[in-house]
Amino acid sequence: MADKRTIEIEVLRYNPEKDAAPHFQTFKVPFSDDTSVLQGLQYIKDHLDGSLTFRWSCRMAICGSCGKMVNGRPELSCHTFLRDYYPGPLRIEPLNHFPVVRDLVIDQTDFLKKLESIKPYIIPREAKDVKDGEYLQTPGQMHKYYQYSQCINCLLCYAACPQYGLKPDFTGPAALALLHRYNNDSRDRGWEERAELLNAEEGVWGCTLVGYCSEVCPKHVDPARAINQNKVNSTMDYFGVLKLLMPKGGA
Amino acid sequence: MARAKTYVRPMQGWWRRNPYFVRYMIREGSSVFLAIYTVILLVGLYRLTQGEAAWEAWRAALTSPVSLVFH
Repeated sequence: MADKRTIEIEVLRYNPEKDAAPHFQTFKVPFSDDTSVLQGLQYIKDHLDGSLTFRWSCRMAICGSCGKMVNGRPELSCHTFLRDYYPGPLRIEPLNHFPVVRDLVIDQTDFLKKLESIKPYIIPREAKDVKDGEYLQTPGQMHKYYQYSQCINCLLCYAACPQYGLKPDFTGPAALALLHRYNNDSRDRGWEERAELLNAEEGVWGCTLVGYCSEVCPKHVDPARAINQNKVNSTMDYFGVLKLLMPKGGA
Repeated sequence: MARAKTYVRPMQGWWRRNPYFVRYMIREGSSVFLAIYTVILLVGLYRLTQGEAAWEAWRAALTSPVSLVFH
């Protein structure tokens, strides 16, 4: 039997060509038990207002495109269901702390620059020719970084981090968690190249352990853990202990 | 390339918008009491170095109503 329920969705609207500041617009959206918040937005775009702008792609919580503030909490809108907010109203805003380009679309440039700056790729411990075969790794060695490699760059953690909102120079949770991921890889010896960024005021020391980043992470990466483990590493580096323990740049 | 005009939302009152942040502020705020108590204990240590009379006076001060309420 068709579900007759509807929910009021308040969406933040901002048109840079017309509006000085954003405002909210309310839509009535029919839904059933399996309608996600993203599908609610798609309903608005298809049937109520075609000008509503938002990002999405995979619809299965893996691409990290559809992050929004849902009732003030950063969520992947494909991974959040309208039934949980019934009878509403439900308020959808762009991710906090990022400049709004239009409606629910944010400017990710700052994050992308930061992601690039942490060198998110393996800087090999030893240069090997292809004919010498693959780099070997034990399950134990993989376990050390696997959790942090699950990050999908959805930026929910940045929207959850008041430090990033207050001090936009802060490298931020996802980039620092990925820095930790590469530093912890047994095939990588890039920690010295990443050290300046990690040790900086804008690096791990910009974090005051609010912890909300780990709370909202849809992939359970736990960036707060990565950052705070690296406060220890940063201190050891300051006193020269890290070089003493890992003269060859061990992971 | 010309950059599009964007809108940056204000941060005023950020910690009151989410109960998680309220709890964080309470946690951070508790450090003030910790700092005050550290000073009290350091004063006690200093009074101990000044002899028995000074030490007893510090202990007596701890039994005052203000001190008891603080504890």
